[in-house]
Amino acid sequence: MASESELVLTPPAPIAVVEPEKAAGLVPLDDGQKSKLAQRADDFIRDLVALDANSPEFGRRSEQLMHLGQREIAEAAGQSNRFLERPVKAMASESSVGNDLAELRRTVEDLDPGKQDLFAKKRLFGLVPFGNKMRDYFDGYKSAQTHIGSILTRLSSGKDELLKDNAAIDVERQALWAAMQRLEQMIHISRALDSGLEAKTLELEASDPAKAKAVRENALFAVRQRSTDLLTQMAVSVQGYLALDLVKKSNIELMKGVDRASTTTVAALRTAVTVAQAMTNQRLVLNQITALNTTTANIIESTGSLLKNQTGEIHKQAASSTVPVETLQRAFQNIYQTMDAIDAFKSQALTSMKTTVSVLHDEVEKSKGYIARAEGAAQALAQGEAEPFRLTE
Amino acid sequence: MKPPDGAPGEKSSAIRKWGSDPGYIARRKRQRRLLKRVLTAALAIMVSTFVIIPTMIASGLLFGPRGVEGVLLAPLVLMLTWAAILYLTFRRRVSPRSIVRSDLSRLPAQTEEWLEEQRRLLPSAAHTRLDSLALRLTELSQQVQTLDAATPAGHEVRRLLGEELPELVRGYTKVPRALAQQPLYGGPSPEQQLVEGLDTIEKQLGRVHERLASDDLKAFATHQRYLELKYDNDDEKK
Repeated sequence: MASESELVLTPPAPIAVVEPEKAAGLVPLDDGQKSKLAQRADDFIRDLVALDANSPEFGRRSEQLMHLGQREIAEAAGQSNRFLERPVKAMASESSVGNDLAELRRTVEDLDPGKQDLFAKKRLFGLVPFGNKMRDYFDGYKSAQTHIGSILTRLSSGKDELLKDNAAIDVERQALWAAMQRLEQMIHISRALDSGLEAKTLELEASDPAKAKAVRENALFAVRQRSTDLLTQMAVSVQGYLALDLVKKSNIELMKGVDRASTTTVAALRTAVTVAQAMTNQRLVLNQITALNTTTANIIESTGSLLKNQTGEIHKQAASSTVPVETLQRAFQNIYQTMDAIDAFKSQALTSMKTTVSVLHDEVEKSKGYIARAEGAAQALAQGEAEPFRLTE
Repeated sequence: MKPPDGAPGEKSSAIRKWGSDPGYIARRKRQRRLLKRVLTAALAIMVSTFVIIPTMIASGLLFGPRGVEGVLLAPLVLMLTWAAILYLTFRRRVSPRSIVRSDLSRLPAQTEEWLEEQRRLLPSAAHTRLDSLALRLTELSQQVQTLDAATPAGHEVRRLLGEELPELVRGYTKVPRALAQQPLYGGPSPEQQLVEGLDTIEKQLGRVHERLASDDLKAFATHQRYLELKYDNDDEKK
């Protein structure tokens, strides 16, 4: 048991704010895509500049720029509510696992050999020597085993919930990644349009100042506004993507903790069986232990083998040790250490998550203003506007 | 693993059943609907005839013969009943107003029926669009069965099918026939605009369809991923 490694659960660090200016480029685009997007921007600028600045067609074209990436923003924004839900839900499910762990701790504390003097003689009315305290103590296990068994089963289904959460996060992150790739493409187009239009206005300045002014005030203005919107949404999405990862990591750590708590508990029960045999020559039959062992070993592949090795060691130690009660106490110490580690982890992870949620919440709120603007553009779109920059799926 | 949302392979059961030509599917649906109505009317006429004639004979036996009156009355009653049955079966049942008022779950079917009735008022250029719209509506009618009308998606479906689509079609039918093909202010003609408008709505319906399906697709992908995490656990996957 002494060889058992210390359980270290590292809480993930909170996610810092992602600045919109730094949000671009975090999702890679390949060169082929980039040149295709740049080509489309160039074509658009060429067509726009060829038009008469006063024609309705020119107005229509510059208006199209107002809707640049509108669908991509709406799609990514639709997911931002989900990122907020996820950490909040994770905190709730942690509390259900937390309750089970707390209950396990209370149950185990009642069995702690350190809490009672096992060698004291038991006396009837405090006077007449009667019975054996040690024997009574081990009898306590029999009544506790069903309870412990049900807590461990609940813990394993709690672990399943955490796993399901992580599976959902994986899927969510995939969808988010796809949305971010589309946003990135739109950002790329908007940048190409920005620089292209700027160069064009400078070029036109000498030959056709009126057109240069129209291009600058309509098209360039619209592109810059949309660039800000796209970057803001990108920042929120990137942050949400990272926050989902944080929840996932903290779930994984918590699952490790649950595994370890189950293992150490089962180990303590097994130790008790062996120690009872050695100390009182009492056959302590915990018929649930075998069942528990199989369940626990099934859910914890990583620690299952550890458990097997431990068992051999317990037998050796309990049989050879002059003070088997100490072995038992050590087994209990292990449970406490694990639970303390989990508690410490949980409080830190909770702080991280709360920080992340509040940061994310602020960012989502900020981007909502832009989304409202995008909504306005959506209304215009519904009236039959064509989109020149539709991404082909 | 495939991307979880908007999988293009998603096909409605209508497509699976009848192949993928919207025109053919729409034609089949029209024929089936007509056949259903004819059969219903025929059945109703038969049943009513077999009820009315024995009733009249029985009343003649019970209350005494009615003479010439009865001879005239009997066919009159029969004719009136038949006319009423035919009217009820073949009358126009949906109007934009009844569409707006109908339940969300019946909305796509009602819109489809109404659109079918408008078909003869619309140019042949729009007919293929109508067919694909009908297909979309069939797809959607399965999905809206479980859709809550108060959700944003519910509102969107109602706005698209109950207001925007009928308005587009009605707007076109008001345009004088002679002007429908003339370019408007040098731009596209009303006929072209109608086709484009139907196209836009069809695409939007497609997106709504994808969005509604995406939750189910995600739930499915999540479960598969959960099974993978739980039972197929290589450590690097975790």
